[in-house]
Amino acid sequence: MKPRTLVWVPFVFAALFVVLALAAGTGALPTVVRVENETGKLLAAAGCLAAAYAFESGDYMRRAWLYSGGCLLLLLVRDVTIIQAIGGTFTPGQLTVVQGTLVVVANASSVIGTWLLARAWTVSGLEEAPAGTRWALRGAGVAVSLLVTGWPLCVDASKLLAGDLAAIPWVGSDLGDTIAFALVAPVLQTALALRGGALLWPWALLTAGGFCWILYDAGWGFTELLHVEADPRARVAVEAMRALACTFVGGAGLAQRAVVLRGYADAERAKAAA
Amino acid sequence: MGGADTSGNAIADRIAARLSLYLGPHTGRAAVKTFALKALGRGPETLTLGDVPALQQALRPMLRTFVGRAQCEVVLQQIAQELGL
Repeated sequence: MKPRTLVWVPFVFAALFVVLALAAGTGALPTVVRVENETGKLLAAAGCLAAAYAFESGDYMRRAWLYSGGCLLLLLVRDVTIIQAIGGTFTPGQLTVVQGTLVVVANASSVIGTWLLARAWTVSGLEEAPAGTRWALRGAGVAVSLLVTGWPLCVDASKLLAGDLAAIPWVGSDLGDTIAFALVAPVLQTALALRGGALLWPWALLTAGGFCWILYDAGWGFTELLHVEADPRARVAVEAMRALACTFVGGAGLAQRAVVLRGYADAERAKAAA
Repeated sequence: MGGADTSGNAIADRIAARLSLYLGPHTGRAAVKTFALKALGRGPETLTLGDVPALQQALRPMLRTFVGRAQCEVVLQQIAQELGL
């Protein structure tokens, strides 16, 4: 698949979801959303793992992609526990602990993966942008992140402080989102620096995925602020952002794999020509 | 993430062109400049064929980070082949 195609796939996936969701009506909407949610996570996890296993054991980017994919796999496992036949084998207390642990560990994995990706430029030893530019970008990333996740983080943290242990996974998720969103800025910086090269595509698609995750969280914030969270159209609009985010991340993984494996193809061609 | 204009040195430009396939033209040139300075203490405009092994060695960690160890070696080998080394 050509990298440019990977740019369009998320829009096709999201558009397909929106059409099906609006056609499904209120009764079938939860099913359509569930299918979109799990399909998106599967595509994203598959892309991350495809990228990770294009690298060799010990490669820096393999770890980054594995942690990113690990988050999605753990969230898929959490979603499996929502199935009554599986979740029903636990007591309600056990289920809360299992699901909470999976969400917290998944978010930790996402933060590590995004941190490794955000640090790739520095680790490479390439010349850094001037300190002023770097700090301005980091500041902007943190500001946008806190704007989106600050309020839910405060609400969930106050629930936890009031003794509601069920808020632990929400606090973990909010913290994970806050850090991961702030790290979109250095990922964007890397994507911009790689423009014109084959590596632009994985980094640009990763950035697009990060922005869509921010829009997804911001979308939920807006629906709650406007008290329209029960409106199916609002839910579809917000879920479309998740569809885009997941497929952009999956596409980024495939683009990364294509770049890495192209090297093998180049070497084979050179060997054949020699 | 600064860069530099074309060095005017054929060897540096060939290496930058190869790197630019992955990193883009701006960062490809910047990489040659950065690692020439780090490895040789001189700018890319002074590169000779004798400097290439040291420059390749300096480029290795950067390439390993972005494209992995296996592809890093492929790229370095392609650079050597293009320069007739």
